[in-house]
Amino acid sequence: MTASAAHVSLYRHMTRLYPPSFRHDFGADLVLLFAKQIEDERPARVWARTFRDLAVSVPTQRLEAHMKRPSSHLLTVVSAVVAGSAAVLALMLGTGPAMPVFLVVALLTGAIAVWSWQATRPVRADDSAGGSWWKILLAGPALAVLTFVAMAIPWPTAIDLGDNAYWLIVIAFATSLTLAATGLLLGIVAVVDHRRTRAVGTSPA
Amino acid sequence: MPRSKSPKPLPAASLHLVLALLDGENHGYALMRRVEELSAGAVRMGPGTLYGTLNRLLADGLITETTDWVAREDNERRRYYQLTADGETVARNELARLRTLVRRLSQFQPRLGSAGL
Repeated sequence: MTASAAHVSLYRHMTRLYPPSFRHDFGADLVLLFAKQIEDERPARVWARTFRDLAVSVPTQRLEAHMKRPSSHLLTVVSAVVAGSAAVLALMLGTGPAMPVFLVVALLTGAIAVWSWQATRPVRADDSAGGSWWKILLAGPALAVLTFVAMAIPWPTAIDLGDNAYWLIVIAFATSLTLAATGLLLGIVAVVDHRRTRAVGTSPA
Repeated sequence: MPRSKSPKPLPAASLHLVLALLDGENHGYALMRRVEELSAGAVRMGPGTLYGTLNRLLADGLITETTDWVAREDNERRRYYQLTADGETVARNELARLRTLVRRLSQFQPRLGSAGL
C-alpha cells in the first residue's frame, strides 16, 4: 500500500463518524476530495485542515440528522455551553484526578465553538461596528447576579426543588461563565478585526 | 433609525460557494479550489464542510446537481453542481451587498481606497 493510499484509507475509516444518511449521500465524494488533496498538498497540511473540518462537520451533521433543520449556530451554542460546564466542573474538582479530563473537554469544545462560529457567521454589513459582543459579555454577569438574587430571596415553602436546586444553580453559573467567556472572545475578535482594518487603511499603497 | 428588513446574509461557507458557482457549474474539488482562489487563500474548506454546505444549498433550492444532464469524460464520477435561478439571484444580491459594504467603508474610512480596496 502506498503512503497516499494509506492516508486515504485512514480518512475513509474516519468518515464513519458521519451519520449514515450523510455518508450514503456524500461518502464517496468526501473520500475522492480528500484523495485529490493528498495528491496536491503535503499530507501534514491536509490532515491539519481535515481534523479541524471533522471536529466541526461531524457534530453538525449528527445534529442535522437528529433534528429536521437546526439553526446553523446550534453547534456553536451547544459546544460553548459544554465548554463552560466542563470548565466549571474542572474548577469545582480542584486537584481531583478527573480535573484534567474536564479541562481537556473544555478546551476541545471551546475550540469547536470558535471554529463553528467562524464557519457559520455571515459576512454582515454591520461587522465594522463591532457586532453585539458586548451584549453577550454583559449577559453573563447579569445572569450570575440574577442567580445570586434568586438564591438570596426566601422562597415559599410550597416551592421545594430539592437537589434540583443545586444543579439549577450550577447550570446557571456555567451558562453565565460561558456567556461572559464567549462575549469576551467575540470582543477580542472584533477588536482585532477593527485594528486589522485600521492597519490596512493606514498602510502605504 | 429603523432598519429596513432585508434577507438574512448567507453564512460564510455558503456565501463563498454560491459566489464560486457564479462562474458556472463545477464539481466539489474545483469549487474548493475556486473558493480558495477567490478568498486569496483565506478560506480553505475541508471535505465535510464543503459537502455539508452543498447539501444545505441543495435542500434550500439554491443549487442543483447537474451530473447527469450532459455526457462527461470523467472517470472519477464526480458530481457537478450549478446555481438555480433562485441561487443566482441570492448570489447576485450577496455580491451587491458586499459591494455596498466596501463602498460604505471607503466613504467612512477613505484611506481604505488607497490600500487597493
